[in-house]
Amino acid sequence: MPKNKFIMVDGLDGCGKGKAIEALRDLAHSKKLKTFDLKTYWKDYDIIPTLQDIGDAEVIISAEPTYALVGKGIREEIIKDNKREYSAQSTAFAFSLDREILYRRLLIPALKAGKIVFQERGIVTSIVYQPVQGNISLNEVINLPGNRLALQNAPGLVIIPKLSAKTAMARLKGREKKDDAIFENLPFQEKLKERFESEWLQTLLKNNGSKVEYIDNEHTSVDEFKSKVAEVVAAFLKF
Amino acid sequence: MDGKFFMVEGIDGSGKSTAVNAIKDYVISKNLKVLDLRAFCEQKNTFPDDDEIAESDIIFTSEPSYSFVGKALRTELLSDDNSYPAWTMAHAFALDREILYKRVVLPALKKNKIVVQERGLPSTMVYQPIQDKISLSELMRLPGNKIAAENPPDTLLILKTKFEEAISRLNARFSNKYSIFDNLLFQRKIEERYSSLWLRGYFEKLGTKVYSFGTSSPVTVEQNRKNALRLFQEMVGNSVKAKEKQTQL
Repeated sequence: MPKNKFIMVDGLDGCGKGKAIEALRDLAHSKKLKTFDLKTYWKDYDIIPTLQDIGDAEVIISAEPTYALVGKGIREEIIKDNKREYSAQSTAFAFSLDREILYRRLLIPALKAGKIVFQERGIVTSIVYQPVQGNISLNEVINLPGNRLALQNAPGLVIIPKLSAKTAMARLKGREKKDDAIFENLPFQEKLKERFESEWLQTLLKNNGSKVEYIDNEHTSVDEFKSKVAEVVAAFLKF
Repeated sequence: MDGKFFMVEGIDGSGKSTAVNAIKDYVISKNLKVLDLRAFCEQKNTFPDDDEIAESDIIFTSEPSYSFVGKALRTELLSDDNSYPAWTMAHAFALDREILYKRVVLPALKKNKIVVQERGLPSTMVYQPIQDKISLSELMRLPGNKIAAENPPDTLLILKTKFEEAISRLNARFSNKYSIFDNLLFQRKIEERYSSLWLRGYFEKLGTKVYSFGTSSPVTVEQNRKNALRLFQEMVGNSVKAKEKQTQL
């Protein structure tokens, strides 16, 4: 019996998280499950919905940072490539705060109610990025209130698409939509890749009840990658 | 910093908005271009950019702000239905402050603008050690609070009012939501902290001129308005008049 029906997809920018989430959405629809897409919801509403707001949907498709309130501040101000600099500490506080509101208002009640949650990025991103960004240690990061809450309610399954930082960067460049985020340079991405694939990260996640699956996205076609993601998650959810 | 920074503090119902409105009415009568941050944020759901700040003469702000983290504070974190942990609240207030200062207050002051703000760092120093049991020295280490301490107001006006009177003003505003027996002890402590010498000393050391006025009866609304306006005029000196001329040209 898995710990919960919470699946998080995390990894480098350009590693295929979006494609993985697409595969999971298709998987849910193929099982005739109703999905509630937070990104779509946030186009119209600047709040974090509650369990009541998602109605009879069985699957929540979520993302961090959110696009509402603190998450909007992170995307439009804190990690945006503007002239204003925010320290790693402030950035970590912001991610933790955004996370705390998302978990308290929606994710924890939803998981308790037996909903399936597919989420792009989350606590794994904070653990990987923030300590290498500057003035905050891993220990400080995981002890922030929102991060502690997220580890207490860690996903049953973490999927990390695996590919070289170079390929990921190349894929980012080919994209139309640019995030303008401050993290997108090769040496930094290489450091992140090492952390995403490290033993200590796997141990930390396992100790909090998460199973970690790396899925190759370097030597495969998009379709092969997507069907592998769907296969792993279907097995986890016992579909 | 070339601009001027005016801050109004005091408990809820102490007359902060009345004081700020007196200043607002005055600068509007002098044809200054006003940027009201609350109205801006509520309309556009974001903060103004450099250009929008550059176009105005005076900016009215408040804490918590009305976008991003400030909006989260107002709609979620401070809501009566929720109780978020102490450190979450401390981080949220400091983060909102950091964004507000970096995005609006500091660029405005750098561009020689006037900023008038309701609540700020003094509120954190007065409330949070009591409410959230976090020590003042820990609070002051948070990045947003450090930035606010490094950029103190030129003038700080602390309004003092009897708690009982503040409650009846709030009840008139929010249809009897407040009870006189609510946290009487807590409110007394807050009053004491606003009146304390350490708070005054802290800001005076940073170069702020600190004034404290009572707003309980027999002090009238008109007197509160006059006091605030006088301090504001003292702070800006001739610069408002100069702008008046420019506008006429």
